[in-house]
Amino acid sequence: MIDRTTSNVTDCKLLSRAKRGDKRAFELLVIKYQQKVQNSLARFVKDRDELNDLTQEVFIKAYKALSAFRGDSQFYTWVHRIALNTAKNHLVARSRRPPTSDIQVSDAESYNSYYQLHDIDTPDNILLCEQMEQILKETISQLPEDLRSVISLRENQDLSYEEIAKIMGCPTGTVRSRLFRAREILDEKITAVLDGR
Amino acid sequence: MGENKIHLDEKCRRDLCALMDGEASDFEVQGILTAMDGKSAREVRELWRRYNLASNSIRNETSGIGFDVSGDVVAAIKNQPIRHLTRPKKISEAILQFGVAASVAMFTIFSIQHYNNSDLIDQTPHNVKVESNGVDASMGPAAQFPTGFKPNINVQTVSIGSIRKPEPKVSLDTSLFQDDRIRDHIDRKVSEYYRQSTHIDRDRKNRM
Repeated sequence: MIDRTTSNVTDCKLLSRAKRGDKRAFELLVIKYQQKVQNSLARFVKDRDELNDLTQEVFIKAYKALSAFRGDSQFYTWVHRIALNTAKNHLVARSRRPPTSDIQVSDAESYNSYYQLHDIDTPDNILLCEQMEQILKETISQLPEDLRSVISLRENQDLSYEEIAKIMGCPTGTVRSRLFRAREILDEKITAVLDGR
Repeated sequence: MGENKIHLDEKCRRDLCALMDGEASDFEVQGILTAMDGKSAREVRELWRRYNLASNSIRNETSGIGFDVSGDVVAAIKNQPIRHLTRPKKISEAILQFGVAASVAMFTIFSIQHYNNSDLIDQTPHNVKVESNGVDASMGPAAQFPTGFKPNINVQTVSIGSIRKPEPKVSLDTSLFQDDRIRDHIDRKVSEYYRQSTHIDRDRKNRM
């Protein structure tokens, strides 16, 4: 897995503001990581409403405990740990009620439900994801050479603007501008896909 | 969604793009957060979400498009303060802290005492001759220290009286009196003074 160091820089900037009580900064972090958290939680719960509630609970817990996050690990690693504990506690609480699922708490962490369909994994949603991935690949391959190189170095190699500038032999301002243009083109395609669902 | 992009100005979109890459300055981050309160608040959030969706998809980091819970989370934490977790102090830690504080206080007190004594010694002018006037050392300030405390002072105890400036020597030039005219003048003045004072005393007695 790629070490997203530049992503960590963004997280640190937003976290320092969130710790000072800026809820908008925390909201940007929620938007950024909610999909990953949902994917983690989907291993434990299938029901869409439950998944929704648990995802919210994870981020609310994270916000309340923000002062305890010292930055020793990446923000998502910390949130992921909260998500696992929340899911386990949820399963323990559910075991006190009539069980609706055969998942045991001891098996929860190692339980792999990747190949099982969840409520969010509707055929429409799966199709939408496949469509989006396909369109992104096609769009990137059709980008002009300078834009394609810059988005590839940034997203696949996780290089900083300075590193990309050195490789491409251009100022960092040009890298920044090219990345923006590439993202604008990709965003246009994604918006069309999402609007069409 | 397509219309939303029109409302969001290019500056904000560029800043969001830079934030995606960890390259946005503090000023730009502040600009984005401010825009989240403005008329294009929804567009900022949606563009940020789409940028992240695209990034995750290109990196193959997540599968599926979930639901957006950010609005609900923000509503839930609206009045939630961040807990400042403080670990309760153990008794041993408290005792240790007290011990350190006491040691520092003791050291400070003795340092100040020692410093003050040094000051007294240093203030003695070098050109003043310190007279040994037979003061018993056991009766001076040195004897006022607590029992067992023997300050290492290698100088003689001095008092304010001993730090005395040498009196200016006034030597009269007696040669002036050797002049006869001046001596006669002085004698005359002195005689007049006695005469007048004698008259004044006599008048006072007569009145009584």
